[in-house]
Amino acid sequence: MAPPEPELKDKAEQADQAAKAFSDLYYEYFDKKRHAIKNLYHDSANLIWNGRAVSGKDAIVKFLEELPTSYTNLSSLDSQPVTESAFEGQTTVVVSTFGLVKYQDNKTQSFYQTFILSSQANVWKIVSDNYRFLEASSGAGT
Amino acid sequence: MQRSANEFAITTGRDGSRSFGDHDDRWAPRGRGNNRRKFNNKSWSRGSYRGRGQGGGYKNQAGGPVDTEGDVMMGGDAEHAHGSQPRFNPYGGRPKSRRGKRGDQYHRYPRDNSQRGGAGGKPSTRPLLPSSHSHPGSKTWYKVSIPHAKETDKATLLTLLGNHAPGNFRPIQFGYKGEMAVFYLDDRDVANLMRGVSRRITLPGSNFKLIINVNMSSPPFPVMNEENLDKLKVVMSARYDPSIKTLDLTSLYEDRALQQEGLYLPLNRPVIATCVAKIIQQNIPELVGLNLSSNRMLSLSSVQEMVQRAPNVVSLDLSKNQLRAVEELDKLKGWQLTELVLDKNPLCDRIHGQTEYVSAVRKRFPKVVKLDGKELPPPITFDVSTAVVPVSQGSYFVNAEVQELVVRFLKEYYTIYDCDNRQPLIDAYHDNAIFSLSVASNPAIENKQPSLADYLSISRNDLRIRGRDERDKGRIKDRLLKKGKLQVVSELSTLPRTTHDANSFVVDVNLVSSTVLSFVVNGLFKESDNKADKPPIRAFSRCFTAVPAAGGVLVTNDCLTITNASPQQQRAAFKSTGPTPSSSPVSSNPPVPGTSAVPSPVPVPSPLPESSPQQQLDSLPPQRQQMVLAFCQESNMNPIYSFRCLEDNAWDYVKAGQMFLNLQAEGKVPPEAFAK
Repeated sequence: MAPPEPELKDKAEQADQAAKAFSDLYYEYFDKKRHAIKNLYHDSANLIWNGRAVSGKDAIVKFLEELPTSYTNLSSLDSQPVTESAFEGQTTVVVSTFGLVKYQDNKTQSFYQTFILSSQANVWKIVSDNYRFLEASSGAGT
Repeated sequence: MQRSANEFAITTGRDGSRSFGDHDDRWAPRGRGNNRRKFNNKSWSRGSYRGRGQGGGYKNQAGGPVDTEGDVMMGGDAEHAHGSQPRFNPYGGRPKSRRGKRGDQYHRYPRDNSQRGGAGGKPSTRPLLPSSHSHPGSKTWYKVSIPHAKETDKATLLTLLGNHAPGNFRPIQFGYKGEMAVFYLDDRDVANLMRGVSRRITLPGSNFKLIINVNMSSPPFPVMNEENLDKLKVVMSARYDPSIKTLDLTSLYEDRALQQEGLYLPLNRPVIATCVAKIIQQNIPELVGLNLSSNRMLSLSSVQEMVQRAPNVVSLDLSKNQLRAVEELDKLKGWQLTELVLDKNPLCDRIHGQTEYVSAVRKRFPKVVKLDGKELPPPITFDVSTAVVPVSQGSYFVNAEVQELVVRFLKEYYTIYDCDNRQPLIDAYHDNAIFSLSVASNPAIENKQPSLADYLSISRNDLRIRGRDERDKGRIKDRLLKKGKLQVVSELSTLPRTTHDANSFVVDVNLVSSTVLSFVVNGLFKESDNKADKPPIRAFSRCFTAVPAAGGVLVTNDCLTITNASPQQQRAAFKSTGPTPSSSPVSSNPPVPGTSAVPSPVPVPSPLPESSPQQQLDSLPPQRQQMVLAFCQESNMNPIYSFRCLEDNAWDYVKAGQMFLNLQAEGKVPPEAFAK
C-alpha cells in the first residue's frame, strides 16, 4: 500500500486549527449575530437543513435568519483534510460537530452538523453545510 | 298599601347599590313580600317622602347620598342596613328635633302614605325640586307616583299629564304598584311641572283630582321582558352599521327611541349588558367594532360577558365612562383588540406618562396599534413569535441517479460492516483515505446513559482531548487520525461489532460534482457482542467523501460521530425489519451477523464496479433482491451463492430452499458459500 502523503500530518493540523477557529466563530454568529453570518458562506454554497436543500449564499442567509433565535452548545468536534484531487487544488476540510441546541420556544435537542470548508486566498468559506436533529434522523422518512 | 310603601324603600336602597353594577343577585326578588323585612329597618327612606307623610312637614332637602346614577355613595347600602348610620338621618343637615319625631313615627309612615298623601301642603307653597349633581354629567331622577290612577287607562292618563309639559314629557318605565301608577322622569323642569299640577287635573268622567307625588329618586331599575327585548333589538339594529360591522351604543341610557317607548336601559346594569350581549351573539356575531362610550360605566364587569359572545371584536371605544382602574381591562382580555379608545376615563389621569399608559394597555391587548385615535409603534413581540423551526424532511439525494449510487454503496458497505470481518471494506477506500471517530455522550439525555468507553480510546473529539500542551494535543490527534486504507480498515476492525438499523437511516447528499461526492448518513445501531441484557443503542452520523474511480467511487474521507440514542429512538429502533415502505433510503433486512469465522476468499460484494456478481445482484428487480436477502438469512449462505441457488431454481423460493437443504445434507455446499 502506498504510504500516506508526507505532508498529510501538516494538513491535518491545519484542518484542526481551521475547524476549531471556525466552530467557535460559526456558532457565535449563528446564536448571536446571525444577520452577519453571510460572509462565512461561499457564493455557491449548499445547505441541507433537516432535509431542506437551500442553494446559494443569499438564500442560505435568508433561510437561517428566519430560524428562531438559538443557543448552541457543542459536545463534539472533529475535522479531516480532504484530498486535493476532490476540490481542484483548493485546500478543503471536513468539519463534523455534534451538540445541543435550543431554539426559542422549542425543546432542547441534539443535532449533528457537517461542514465542508474551502480556503481561497487564505479565507475559509463554507462550501457545504449539513444540519440534522438527532431525533429527526430516526425513521424520518418522507 | 303598606306594601307599596315598603317597596318604595326597597327600591331606593336597592337602586343605590345597583349603581355599582355588581350585585346582580339583589334585584330578583324585587317587590316580593318575603323580601320586605330585610329593608324594614333601613335608615334611608326618602326624607322628603316621609315629610309629606307626616302631614305638611315636607321640606325640600338636598338629597346628598342618593338620586344620582352612578354615584358611589350609594354603595353603602349594606352598611346602612346594619344600622351603622344613625337611623332616620339620611341627610346630615336635618334638625335634631325632627329626627326624633320622625323616628317615633316611622312605622306609622306607610299607613300615612296610604291616605293619599295625607294633608299635603298647598301646591303654591311648594318649593322647587332639587337637582342634585354629585358628578358632572350625572342625571337626577324623579319618581312620580299617582295613587288610584289604575282606574284610568294608561294612554289617557299620560295624555292628560303630557298636556302640561308639551314636548318634554317622557315618562320612563310606567307601571302600577297596586292601584298606584308609577313612572320616572329625568327632566327636573318636567318633574316640577308635574308637581305643580297635583290635585289640579280632573280625570274625565269623574270629579276626582289626581294627586301627583314627585320625589327625587335613584334611577329606575330596568325591567327586561320579551317586549322590551324586542324594542332593544330594534334600537340596536338602528345603531349597527353592517358596512363596517360596528355597533354604536354611545349613551344607550338616553336613547331617544327607547325613551319614546318609556324605557330606560343603561348599559352599566349587568342585566342590560347581558341582553345586549345575547342580541349581538344571535344577530351580529360578525361584529368587529363596538362603541360603548358615554355609558357611565364604573366597571367592565357588565361588558365582560360580551367577550365570549362577540369574539371577533377588534375595535373598542370605552371613552367618557367612569373607569378608574386600568385593571378593569383585564376583564376583556379575550378580545384581540387592535384599536382602543379610553379617553376621558379617570384611569387615564392615574397613569403618568404615555409610555406607562401604552404598556399598561399592551399588557392586556398586545396587538393594539391605535390607542385613543393615535397610531402606536408596532408591538415588539410580534416578530419573534412568528419564527418557527421548519419541519424536518426525509433524506435528500439531489437526484435519482445519485440516490441509486449512494443507496447501493451504503447497502453494500453496511452489509460488510455488520459482519464479523470488516477487512473486505478495504476495497471501498481510496489509497490515501482518512478515517476518524469522535465520541460524545448525548447531551439531550437527562438520565444516566450507557458508557461509551469502548470508543473513547480512539475518539478524536477535539473538545475532549487534553494534551499536556498544544504540541502534545497535536501529537495525540495525529495518532488518532487514521491515514491510508490499511490503517483505516484495521481501525474499523477493532471497533465493536454492530448491527445497523437500516430503517433508521437518513441520508443527505451534501455535495456532488464530477470530481467529488459527499454524503452524510445518520442512523442507529446496536452492539451485537455487548454482554448486557439490553445492548445499548447508539446513534451515529457519518460523512463519507468519495471520488470517482473506475465505474464507481472510492472513499477518501470517513468522518464518524457516535453518541447514545435518545430514549425515544431506543424505543423505535429495530422495530420494523420486514419489507419496508420506501421511507428508508437503504433497504431493510439488516444483515444477520455471519457465524462463519472463515476468512473470505470469495469475491467480496463491493461498491466498486469490478465485482460483477454484485452488479448482477444490484441489477435485479427489488422483489428478487428481497428474495436473495431472505434466502441469505435462512440458508446462512452469502448473497452470491443465494442468488445462484435461486437463479438455478427459476426464482422459486420453496424449490430453491429444498435444493439447498438437499445439497447441504449431502455435504455438497462449498464452504465459500457461507463466507461473507
